[in-house]
Amino acid sequence: MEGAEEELERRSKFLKSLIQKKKTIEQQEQHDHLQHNNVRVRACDMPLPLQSRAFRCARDLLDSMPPKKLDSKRLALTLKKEFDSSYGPAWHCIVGTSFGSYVTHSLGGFVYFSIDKVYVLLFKTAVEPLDHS
Amino acid sequence: MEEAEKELERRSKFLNSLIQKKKKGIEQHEHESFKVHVRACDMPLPLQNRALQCARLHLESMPPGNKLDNKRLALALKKEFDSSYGPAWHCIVGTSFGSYVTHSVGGFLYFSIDKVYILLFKTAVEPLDH
Repeated sequence: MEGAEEELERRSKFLKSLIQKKKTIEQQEQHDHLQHNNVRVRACDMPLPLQSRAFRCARDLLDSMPPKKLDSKRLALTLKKEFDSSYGPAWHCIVGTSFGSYVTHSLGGFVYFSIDKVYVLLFKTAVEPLDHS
Repeated sequence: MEEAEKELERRSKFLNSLIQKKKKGIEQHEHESFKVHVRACDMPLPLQNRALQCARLHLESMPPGNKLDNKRLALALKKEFDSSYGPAWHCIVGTSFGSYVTHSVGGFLYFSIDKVYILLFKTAVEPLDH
C-alpha cells in the first residue's frame, strides 16, 4: 500500500513536469514566432491558434504589399473575411497607425496587436438573427 | 444739404460697425463649431445628431491646444449609445485607420469632426448563459 502511494506520487510528479515542459515549449515557440514576425500583442482574449492565424495572415499580406504603402482597409477586410469564414461571423477589424477604441467583444474573440508600425484590432461579436418568416 | 450729408455719413458708419460686429460674431461662431462631415451612414437622423452633438461637446470641453484623447472620446460615445439605445455599440476614434465591420441595420455612422475620424456602429450581443 505504501509502495503504491509512492508510485502514484512519482507518476503524478512526472506528468506534471511533462505538462509544464510542454507549456514552456509552446510559450517559447510563440515568443520566437512573434519576434520573427515583428509582432507585439498588446491586449488579448483569444485562443493561441486564432492569434497565430491572425499574425500569419497579417504578415503575409503586409509582405505582399509595396514597401511603405499600407493599405489599412485591405488588411482589415482580409482579416475579417478569413475569420468570418474560418470561425463564424461576425468579426470586425480596425487597422491603422493612430486610433483609439472602445468595443464590446465576445468571449475569446479579441486581440489587439502591432505588426511593424501598424496596429490591428480584431474582435468578434454576436450577429443579429435573420428575420426569415 | 450739409446736415443731410453728415446724417448719411453717420448712418453709414453705424451700418459698417454693425456689419463688422456681425462678421466677428460669425468668425467666433465658426471657430467654436468644428467642421462636421458625415462620410458613410446607416442610421436614423436623431441618432446621428446625438452622436455629432456628443462628439462636438467632448471636443469643445477640451482646453484649447490639448491633444484629443481618442480612447476617452470613443468611451464617451459608446457609453452614451449603449445606455440610450441598448447594447452593444462600438466606437473607433482616430486620425489614421481603415476598417471592415458588420453592423446591425440602422446602426452605423462614420463621420469626421475637425481633424478626427469617428466610426460608431452597433452589433448584437451574446445572450448570457445563465
